[in-house]
Amino acid sequence: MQLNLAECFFRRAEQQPDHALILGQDPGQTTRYCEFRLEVLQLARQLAETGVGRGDNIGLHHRSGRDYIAFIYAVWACGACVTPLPLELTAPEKREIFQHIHIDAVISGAEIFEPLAAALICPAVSLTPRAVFARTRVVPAAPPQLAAVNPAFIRFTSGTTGDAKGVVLSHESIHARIHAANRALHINSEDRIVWLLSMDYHFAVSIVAYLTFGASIILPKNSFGVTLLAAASRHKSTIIYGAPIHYSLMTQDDTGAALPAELRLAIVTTTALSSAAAEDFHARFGRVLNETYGIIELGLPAINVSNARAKQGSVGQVLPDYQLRLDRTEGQEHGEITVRGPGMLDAYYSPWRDREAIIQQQGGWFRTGDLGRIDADGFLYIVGRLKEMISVGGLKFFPEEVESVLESHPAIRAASVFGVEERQWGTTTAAHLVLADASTAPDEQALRAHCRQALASYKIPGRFQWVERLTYTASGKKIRSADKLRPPESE
Amino acid sequence: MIMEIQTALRSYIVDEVLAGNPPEGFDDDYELIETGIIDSLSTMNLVIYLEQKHAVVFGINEIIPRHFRSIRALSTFAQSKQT
Repeated sequence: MQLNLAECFFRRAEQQPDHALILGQDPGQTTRYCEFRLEVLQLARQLAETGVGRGDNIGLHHRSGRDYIAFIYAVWACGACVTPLPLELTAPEKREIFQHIHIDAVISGAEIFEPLAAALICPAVSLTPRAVFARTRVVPAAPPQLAAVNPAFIRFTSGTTGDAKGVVLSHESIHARIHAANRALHINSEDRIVWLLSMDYHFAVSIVAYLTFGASIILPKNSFGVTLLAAASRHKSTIIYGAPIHYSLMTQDDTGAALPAELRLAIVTTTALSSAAAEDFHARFGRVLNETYGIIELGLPAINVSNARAKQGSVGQVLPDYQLRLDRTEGQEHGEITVRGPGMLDAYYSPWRDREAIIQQQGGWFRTGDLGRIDADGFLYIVGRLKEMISVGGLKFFPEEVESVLESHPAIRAASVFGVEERQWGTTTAAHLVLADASTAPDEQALRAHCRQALASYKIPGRFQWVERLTYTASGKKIRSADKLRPPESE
Repeated sequence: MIMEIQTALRSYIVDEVLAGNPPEGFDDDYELIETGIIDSLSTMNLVIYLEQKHAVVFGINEIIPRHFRSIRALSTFAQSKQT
């Protein structure tokens, strides 16, 4: 019989029926494992009555939260698979998902259904008082190999290393990932985890792990620092799972609130943590943040659970079930991170390439496209993205290095560095800079002098341009682009 | 100027956060936090919206409930921070 993650949750719920699964904002808003199991089964019955079953793929267009978790588990309980449709995507971006991925039907928040209506057969059927269900109008064919991998998730995303659309994760892969990650996280029924991220992008190695290992999930009302600290304290939280911005908001809280003494991990994910934010958090709370290295294709092969200040900035040692190798050119400290281990993606969806084909092409290892270095104690540091590496006259470096020097200037709040193709000179570099509050912009000469103290001359940007703000992806990653760069002033 | 932001913000919250279905009595003084209209994700979306569309630059220590409690409070704050 094929593994089903919903069954894993049902078994856990039978073992600890009265244990709290969701800890809401108010004392009366606790949902126990047995209650949630019944809710999932009821939803699964309703979905099955509409014809949802094995082989179907259901788009989920819903706010993150307890209902989101219930819908995913109900779809799995029917034997179907889920494709998240993130709410913040624009209408054309949502259309692109329907164009590439075979989606049989959609579960949507009732009040946010309208933007999807053109792709769906209306009227939608009411599933709960706040959610509707509708079948899709035109469906591209699913890859014939899909059913054989027992899919749980199809995440529409560009592949890490190419133009492939969609990452397929089976129940077995997710199960393998959460067990591998738990050799470092040790999540169990004693854990109460503050959850702060979008479930569209974070679910497989986090929420599924919590439900499988019997933890309780705390869902704060909003992201304000005071709210997060109050929720963590009220529920004696043992783990917080958030993005750098959440920890910055907690650091800046001015009510004097503290973190609970029970807290054992403050996990930070989604994007690199700046050393200033980590230092500020430590100064306020006396705690080191636990950085992670998560990749949709792989899971969580590295987590820094050392809680050692000396290892701040590292994503930790590679977990016991994984092997990690840096693909280096001779004489260089850093190299492309390649990994092998359990729970690797089952396939890229379009064009279809299964796991064997992906890793065979890459010598048995998964090439991440990220660049890292490993210190003498085996701690991994992410240095940059291979495709963002800048090469000036064959001399290669990473924008992050230059940005960090620029951001150490007191008048600079944020910097983005990127290559620019100049007709005469090949690649040169430029920087977008955001002025710090109440500062006067230094001139280019002063900026160059500042850079020269720390950087080889080829790394110093040829042009500096002050901008109001930098651009970021929805998940908070910096978009380094020359699109807004003004042409150089004529001399 | 402040009316301009207030009007734009009201439209944004009604259209994007409430998907065109504002609760009864929804006006510029309607409590946004206690009613859960501003939740963990909509906080950051509002910050991004104000930064991108209205050139409002938030300091990290300014993302606090006091500034987000109503459309009027947020408009007043946003206007004071426009670059």
